[in-house]
Amino acid sequence: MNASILYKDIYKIRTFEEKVLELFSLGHLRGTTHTYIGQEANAVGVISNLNSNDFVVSNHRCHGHYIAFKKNLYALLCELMGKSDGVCGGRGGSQHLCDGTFYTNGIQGGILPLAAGLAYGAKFNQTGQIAVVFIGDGTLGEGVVYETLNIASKWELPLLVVVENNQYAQSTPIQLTLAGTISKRFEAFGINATELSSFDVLEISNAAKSIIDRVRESSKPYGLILNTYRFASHSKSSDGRDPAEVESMRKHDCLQITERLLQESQIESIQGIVNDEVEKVVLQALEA
Amino acid sequence: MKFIESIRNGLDSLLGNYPEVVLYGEDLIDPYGGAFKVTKGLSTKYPDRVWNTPISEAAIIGMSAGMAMCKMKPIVEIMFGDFTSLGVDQLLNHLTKYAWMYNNQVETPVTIRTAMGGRRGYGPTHSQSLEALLSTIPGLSIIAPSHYHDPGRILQQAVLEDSSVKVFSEYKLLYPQELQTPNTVKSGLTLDVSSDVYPIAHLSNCEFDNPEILIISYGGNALLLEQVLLDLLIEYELSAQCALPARIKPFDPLQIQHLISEAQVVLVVEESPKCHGWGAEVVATLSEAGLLSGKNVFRIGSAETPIPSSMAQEEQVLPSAAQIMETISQILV
Amino acid sequence: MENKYLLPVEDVNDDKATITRLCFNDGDLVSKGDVIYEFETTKALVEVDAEHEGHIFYAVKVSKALKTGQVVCVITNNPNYQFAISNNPQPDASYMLTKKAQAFVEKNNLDLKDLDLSGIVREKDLAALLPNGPIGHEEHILFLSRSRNDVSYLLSNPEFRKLSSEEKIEWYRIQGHEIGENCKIGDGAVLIGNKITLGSNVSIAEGAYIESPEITLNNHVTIGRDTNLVASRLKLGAFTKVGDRVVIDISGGRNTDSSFICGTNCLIASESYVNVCHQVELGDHVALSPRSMIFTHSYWQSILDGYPAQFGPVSFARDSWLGAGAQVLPNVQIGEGAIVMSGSVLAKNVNAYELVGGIPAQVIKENINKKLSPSKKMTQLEELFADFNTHLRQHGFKSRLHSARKICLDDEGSITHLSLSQAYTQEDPNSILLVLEMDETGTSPAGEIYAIQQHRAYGAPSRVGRLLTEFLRRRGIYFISSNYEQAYSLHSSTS
Repeated sequence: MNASILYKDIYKIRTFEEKVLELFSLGHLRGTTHTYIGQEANAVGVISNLNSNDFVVSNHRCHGHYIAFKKNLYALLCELMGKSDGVCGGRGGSQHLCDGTFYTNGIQGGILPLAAGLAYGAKFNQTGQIAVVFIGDGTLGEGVVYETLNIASKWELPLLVVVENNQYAQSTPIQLTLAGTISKRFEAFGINATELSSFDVLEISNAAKSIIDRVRESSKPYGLILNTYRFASHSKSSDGRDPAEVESMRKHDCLQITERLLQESQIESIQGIVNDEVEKVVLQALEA
Repeated sequence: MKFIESIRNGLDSLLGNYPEVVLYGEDLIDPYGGAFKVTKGLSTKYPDRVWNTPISEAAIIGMSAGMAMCKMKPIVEIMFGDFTSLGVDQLLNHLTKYAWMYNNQVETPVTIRTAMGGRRGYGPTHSQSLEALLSTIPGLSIIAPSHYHDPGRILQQAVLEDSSVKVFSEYKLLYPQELQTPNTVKSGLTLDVSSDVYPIAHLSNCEFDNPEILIISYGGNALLLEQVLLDLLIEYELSAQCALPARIKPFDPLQIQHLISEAQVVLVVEESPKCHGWGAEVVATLSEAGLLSGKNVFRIGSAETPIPSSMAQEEQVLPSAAQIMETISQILV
Repeated sequence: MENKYLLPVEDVNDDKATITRLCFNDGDLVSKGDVIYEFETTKALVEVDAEHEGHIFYAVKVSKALKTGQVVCVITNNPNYQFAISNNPQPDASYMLTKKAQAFVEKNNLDLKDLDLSGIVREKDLAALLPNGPIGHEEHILFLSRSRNDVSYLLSNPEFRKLSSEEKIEWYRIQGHEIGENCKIGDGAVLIGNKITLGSNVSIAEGAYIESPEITLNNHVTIGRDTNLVASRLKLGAFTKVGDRVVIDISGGRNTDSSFICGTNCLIASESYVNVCHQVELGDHVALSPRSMIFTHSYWQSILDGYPAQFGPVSFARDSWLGAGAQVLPNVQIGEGAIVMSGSVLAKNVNAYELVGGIPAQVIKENINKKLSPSKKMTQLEELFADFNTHLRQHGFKSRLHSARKICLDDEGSITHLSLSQAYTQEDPNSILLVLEMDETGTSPAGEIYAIQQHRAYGAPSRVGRLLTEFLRRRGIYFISSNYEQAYSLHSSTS
């Protein structure tokens, strides 16, 4: 996988999310938003290996997945602004997106059955599609997750469950909420799972590629646990984490890690293109 | 034909003619054939499209949305209506939201079949009629035919032609009942069924009179109300009619309009709790349509307690013919 | 020790099953494990084994459909065991009577054996099946019960008629008949019936002869001199006045409905003739003018010789009026508020508010009544009111029209006010009434009240009051009776 292509998507997500926070401060957005800053390599690494007709189901923190899969910044921003050019005409807002085979919902865990149903449909119709569902570590508290893992394993559904473990369920650290281990939870249902602690998009992408190929070929569910970290707070609310901890994690910024693989000129060129695009989209969206 | 056979035939016809139709739920494959035996024989005939699930109501209801988005027509059986509560998050926050929330980019034509109602001695958690509870979920249609309808045909049309998320409520005591037609209806009663997709069955104890009593109800309550109509006739010679819409939500006052004008007493009968119930919605809707002025209006539903297992106690909690007779006779006798 | 075996639930949806085999005879000894009976559900044949030893007794028969939970058999050590009650006897009647229909059968002593009944039978279904008994008519023939002592006594003792009014009334009461207060039965007058009910203030003039199995004369009915009333049932509503030498008879033959039924406030004027071969019914406030004639049969020669014959009831709806000397033929209904001109012969129905006349009677005018607005009525009354002031002066009163709706008058020293106002009565709070109040102080509660639209007078009449009702009557406003009801307080009044 070409690092510059992956970098472009990471940079695009980062720039867009920062812009969203800025627009929020300026009063152009209402409600709330859960930014993806810090976790970009996960979405980009996994989704870069999907076919365009595969199903992607995401959660409340979905902008990064959307940009990585559908790349339509204008439609996304309009949706956040509640405008009719939004992906859902402004009805859904930040947490409720739908575009082609991309779906998100703001209820924890409830999207797993949807993803499993889509995987069932793909298998039933023999289309070769797979379904990928992104959940966070906090979602592991929901019972329906395990109902679905059980069924997906038993019925051999082409479903990839990606757990982005950013260590916090909103404000509560995982040490207070999670018993045992995440991978054991997959294991309990006879689902193979790979755990990866990496901020390197190439490493994530490579791991995801082999897993996605296996899901597609075997038509069996698979787990991918990505230990990660978000730099921004959970949503628009204040951040209860220790600032020193957040600061220390900055050295694992996937953006900088990817930049090390590129030449200065490449970075500049990509940043220029993305900055222009984001600026243009913001202006368009504000006028829409 | 019996109510249960009609539904089974409806399912058979759907599976036989439409490869996108699938049917799944708990314990419904042969030889068991479902807790109420509705699906008996179907898994043998359509092994790839009729299957058993784990006891995971939320997941199996939720998955139907994904299947529907893949152009399948899923029919989910929830063994007891009481268990739909386990899938309420899926119904409320997922299935009924998708189409609208996603700006109509997707459709979720899902049918949830479930057995509702008491009078079988199953006690507090296996006897409820949750139509009223479920009816508060925006966008959820609720279909509850009686043995005066053709439930198999209604089920087929619901699955094929209605793109909304639907709960298809089957009253347990109706399963062994013979379906009634204008020719087979009990002596003393007349029956007229409209030709709508969701027909209204109109049962009456008088042929030509304009009855002074209109009872609006649905589903298995028809078993109670056919007796009430006869009792009113035999005890007091009061003429009464009963309107049984097959689809109770959305409730269409236009289906009732022509029946209501002569009525002095309008009763809404349901087995769901009366408090905040379907009856309240029906009365309010009819009132807003200007159809209730000057009429005596009553709601009859179950009491605000769990449904007891004991038959004698259950009779006190669920609506009874005696209770309905007493309500009417206080006004008209 | 008895062990009951109830029919078990075998299939989840079955609420009943059919007994297909009983393996022993009643009283046989059975052992544990013996198959004692077999039943069939919708899906299977099921054999039931004995769990006990003893004598078996079955509560059911083979091929009987049973509800689950009902007793199939008992195993007991009593060899002479008997079931206390049979399991569920079901009558196999092909029809069922409603409670009202049952009461109707009992009341009319009907024999249903030969009637073709099915399904649920209502009172009106039975009434319709009876010959000549359509709904709304008196359904059955009544005869004087000659076995009754009082009836046979009256029929055979013309001397009774010569008793005084008080003596006659006392006698009727002793016989168990109901005679209200203040009634009067004139010289030579007699009532003969199985059941006689007179309200209060009923007045029967000299020489009247009233004979009917059921006689009901309500309050204030007056019967004129030498009047003959004979019917199978005779009912006259309150304030109805029957004139002198009126004849009601059953010529043409007594029928199922040979009754004369009349509402309140009717007039059957002198020398009228009413035939009640079939029922004649008058609604409220119907007038039959002098010498009017009503026939409910018309035949003389035999139909076997090709002659026509006609039988049927006659009815007058409320407020209708038959002119003097007019004749009404069988099967004619006169609508509400209709008028039949004097001397007409009426062979066809008359619609409400039609004026008909001629021989045979034809429609002369439709919609003869007019609905006047309250204000228009008030204007008319104000004019009459002014005239009444003049009328009072002509009768020697010192009176003065104080305003269009108020007269002050000096009646032999006492000052009286007469006012015309709109008021609401308790009786009828929703409609505006036109009321004349008369009192000494000019304030409510009034002494006398004349509710003009109700045609009612309340309170003891004064000389002025009598003058007023007579005056208004002669100008086309009637009061129900010259008898005054007790004082009535108005709910509110405004002048």
